[in-house]
Amino acid sequence: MLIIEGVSRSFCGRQALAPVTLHLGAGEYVAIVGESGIGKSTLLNLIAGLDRPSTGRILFKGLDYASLDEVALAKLRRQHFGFVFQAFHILPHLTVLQNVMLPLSLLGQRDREAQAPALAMLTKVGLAARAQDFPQALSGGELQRVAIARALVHAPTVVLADEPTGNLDPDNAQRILALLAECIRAHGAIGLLVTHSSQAAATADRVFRLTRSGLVAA
Amino acid sequence: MSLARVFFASFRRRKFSTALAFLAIVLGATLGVAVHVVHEAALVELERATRELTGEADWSVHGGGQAFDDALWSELAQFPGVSAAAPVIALDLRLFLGADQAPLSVPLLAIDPLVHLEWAPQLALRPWHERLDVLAEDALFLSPAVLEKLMDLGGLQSDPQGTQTVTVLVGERRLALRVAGDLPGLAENHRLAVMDVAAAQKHFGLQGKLTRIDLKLTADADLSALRARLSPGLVMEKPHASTAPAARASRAYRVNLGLLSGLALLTGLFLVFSAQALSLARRQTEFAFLRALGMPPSVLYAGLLAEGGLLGLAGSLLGAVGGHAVAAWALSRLGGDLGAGYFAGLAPEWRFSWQATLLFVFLGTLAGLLGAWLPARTTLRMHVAQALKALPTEPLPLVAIRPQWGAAMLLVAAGSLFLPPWQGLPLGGYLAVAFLLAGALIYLPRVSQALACVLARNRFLPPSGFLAVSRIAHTPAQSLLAAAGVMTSLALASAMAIMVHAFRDSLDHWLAQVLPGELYLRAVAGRTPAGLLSPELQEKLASIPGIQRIDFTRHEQLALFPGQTAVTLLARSHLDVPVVGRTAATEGPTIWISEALADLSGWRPGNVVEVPLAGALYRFTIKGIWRDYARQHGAIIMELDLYRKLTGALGVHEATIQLTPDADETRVKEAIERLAHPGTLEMTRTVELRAKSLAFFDRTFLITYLIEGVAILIGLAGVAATFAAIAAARRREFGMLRHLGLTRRDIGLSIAIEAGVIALAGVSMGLVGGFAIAGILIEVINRQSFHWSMDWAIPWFALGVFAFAMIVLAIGAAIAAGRAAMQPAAVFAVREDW
Repeated sequence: MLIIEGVSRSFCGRQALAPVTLHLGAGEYVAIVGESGIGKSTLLNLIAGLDRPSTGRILFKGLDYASLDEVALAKLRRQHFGFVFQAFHILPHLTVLQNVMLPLSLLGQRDREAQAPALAMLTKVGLAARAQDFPQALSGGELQRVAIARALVHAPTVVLADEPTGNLDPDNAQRILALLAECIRAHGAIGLLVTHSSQAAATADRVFRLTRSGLVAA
Repeated sequence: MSLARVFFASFRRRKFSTALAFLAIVLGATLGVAVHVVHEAALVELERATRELTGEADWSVHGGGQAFDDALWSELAQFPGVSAAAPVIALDLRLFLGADQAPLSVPLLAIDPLVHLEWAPQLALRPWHERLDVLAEDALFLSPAVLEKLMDLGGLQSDPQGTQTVTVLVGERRLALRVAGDLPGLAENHRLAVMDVAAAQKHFGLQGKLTRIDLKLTADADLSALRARLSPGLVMEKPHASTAPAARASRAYRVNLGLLSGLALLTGLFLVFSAQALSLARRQTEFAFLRALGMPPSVLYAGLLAEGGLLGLAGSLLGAVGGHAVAAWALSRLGGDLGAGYFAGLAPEWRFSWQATLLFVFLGTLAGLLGAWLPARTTLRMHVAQALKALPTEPLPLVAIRPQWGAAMLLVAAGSLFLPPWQGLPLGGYLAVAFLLAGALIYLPRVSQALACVLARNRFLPPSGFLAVSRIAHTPAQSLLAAAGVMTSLALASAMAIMVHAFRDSLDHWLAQVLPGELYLRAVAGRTPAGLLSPELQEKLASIPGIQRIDFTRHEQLALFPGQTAVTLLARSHLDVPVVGRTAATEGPTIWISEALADLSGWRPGNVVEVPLAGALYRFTIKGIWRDYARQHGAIIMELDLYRKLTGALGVHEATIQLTPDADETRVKEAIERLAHPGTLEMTRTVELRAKSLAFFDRTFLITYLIEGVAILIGLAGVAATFAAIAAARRREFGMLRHLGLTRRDIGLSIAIEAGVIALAGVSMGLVGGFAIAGILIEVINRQSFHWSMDWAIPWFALGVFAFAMIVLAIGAAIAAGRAAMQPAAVFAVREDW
């Protein structure tokens, strides 16, 4: 379903990402580990269509990214991708519920339609009682749970998580990783987790290490 | 590393917003210092010139310019307590320079040279040929400044014997006078002509008349007995008292110009506020770190205040230097009244003013400190642990100001309107403007929020629009930061635009009423005793074929109140004047008084008042009040026939002529010119005169428009700077939104909607405030400063276009700023710069 073939990225002649080849099917949950600056986030940006590879190609459901313009790639992300970030990126001026409804709103759903699935997702991550609160009132762990709910509310085909527990304490981190894995599996989505932590990577089905020469099985 | 560096180094990271705030403060200080320095120089010059003209005289007796019987002079000279009395005729001379040139206007002082030589050595006459020329009938003595001007303009004629003459215009006649010497004791720039008083009486139709008597009194002189001896219409004053009314009138003009410098300083204050608030947002982690290292909150607070203060100090110092430079230029080009006509004939020189410099350096620094104060206060409430973890994104929440404060400010503004003027200054009006703006600013975030909430209910709002409006609804501080500068500058600019438009419209109507007919005619010698059109000429004019109606006017100056500038009496053949308010039912002789006179004297329609005419007091009933934009010190209008009957004086100063429908204007003009000496009559088409007056009006207000324009540009740049800073701080948010599937276009649209709503709130509040301030300007400040009213006229189209353009420009500025923040390559540079 998601095919990454010989994809690399260079900036001003400096290689930021060595050529990577990876094939992912529905329901697969994969972790990529590697040292800082090796290109993990660059790889996620390329998979999300936010950057163009210097070499290689990426195909999603048979569709080559090279044939898509910015608007088409944005539409692709809107419909098929969910994201979980290290810094949560929850909009401070929207309520918890509105933050989770956001991907559905972007897909054209009215508030009425979007509310029920968003509330269901919040229930799933244990935050239904905080739906009307503003993010300022939530702890770091709770914010990341909101981010997971937002990443999955529109039933995406791919969920990309970039160091989702980097800002959390070990107990919270374990709970969040478990929740993320459970949700991804429950939705049958492709999960791609990028992390420094081998403990976090262990929650995935397969683990790869990104090196200067490319992707190797860990 | 010095602690100061921690604070001041941040200026380099936000060059653009710092530069904008700095520029606004420089502009305000420049304008304020320039206006003060020019006015101070003019007053110093006015006092010096008065001292030169009166010498050591203790008191002056005068009729406000109206001539009186010279028998009073010999009587006063013998009055107990009077040690010496000197007769004076003071006139304005018009020197003929050729048919194609406007005459040169020079003040003439006709004195008794033997008496004045003792009192006023500056007035010592230096004859070039004969010593007795000082008493010669045809001799005129000119100051070096006048001689130089005449030589430049070719106004001196020489005969073969080397005698130099000048041609003086008197009524419809020309008079040749010999330049018999100069006045070496006068200041280099003082324009004056001096001749013997008896000669002036003869040449200017003032036989047996004087316009002033200078007195020296003994220590035991009885002033009240002296005053009691004076006939009606004459006043006795200290010589320098005559400078006070001009100084008062020009002060009101100066204060109004000063208001514009206040506008620039206020814009500067808001820009410092906005720049500091945004800069603090980005430096939260840095400050939290400093606090964690042990920096006391008070040091952090003081450091941030010092940032604003330094910006204000530097801006106002540069502004003060600029102000002095502008003042030097304005004094040499426009004169001491900046072209307003209060100090005609004076040529003041630039001099450094510590007072103005210190005042505006203080005000500029204060603007900087006040701008930095509120953002700095928020750091006192900073939660260090949270801020250390936080990513710098949003402006710090500002100290909440309760809406009740806004209502209180508006109430104080309303109350200030009822304060009487203080020493002729409409301080209540200015206070009302300040409190009104403060109240409006408190409500600005609420108006933005209300607009956003209304829009949020719209079902068809796209997600990017929803993001924008929900953001506005939850970040009121942002609206205040972005729109405060726009609201303030727009409120003051639209208020000035409405006031100027109403004034221009009223002036246009007024001109049409006071200048009826097709032609306006007067003697080039002007509205002085030397500029009278004789009864014979009046008769001949009335009989010229093609003239349907001719209205004559005579002007007199009446000293009605001691210590006040003389009031002008206009005796007109027809009394169709622009009336203000009610008229009274009257019997017997009536007069109309101008709004200025009504304000200064307290006289009202129906009152019976005494007016001195030709040395006698007459009782008149006031019929009504008329609008007069020409004379700020007050004017009376009465019928010419009544004036002639009471005074016996038949000459007039000017005429307006209405032609028959079939008349040939050129022929009528030629017929008029044939009646007088060439070059002695001045004829203008009334249409041209009206156009000239309006053009002069537009020129006077040009500086206002220019300063408003600059203030608005700075305000708009403030919007751009705010949005750029906010957009740069929201890079992560934009990045997340792009991950969620929003395109750059969507994000641009979101920023545009956000900017549009905030600008709409700022512009709406600015316009509402502008209307209210225009009301204060028209009904309070103008009435109290200049004593004239005007009819409301609103430039709807111009204001509409202006408001629309402001919103579009604000959106454009915000989009440009947002686009810069969304460019991966540009983000880094923008983040550091704005």
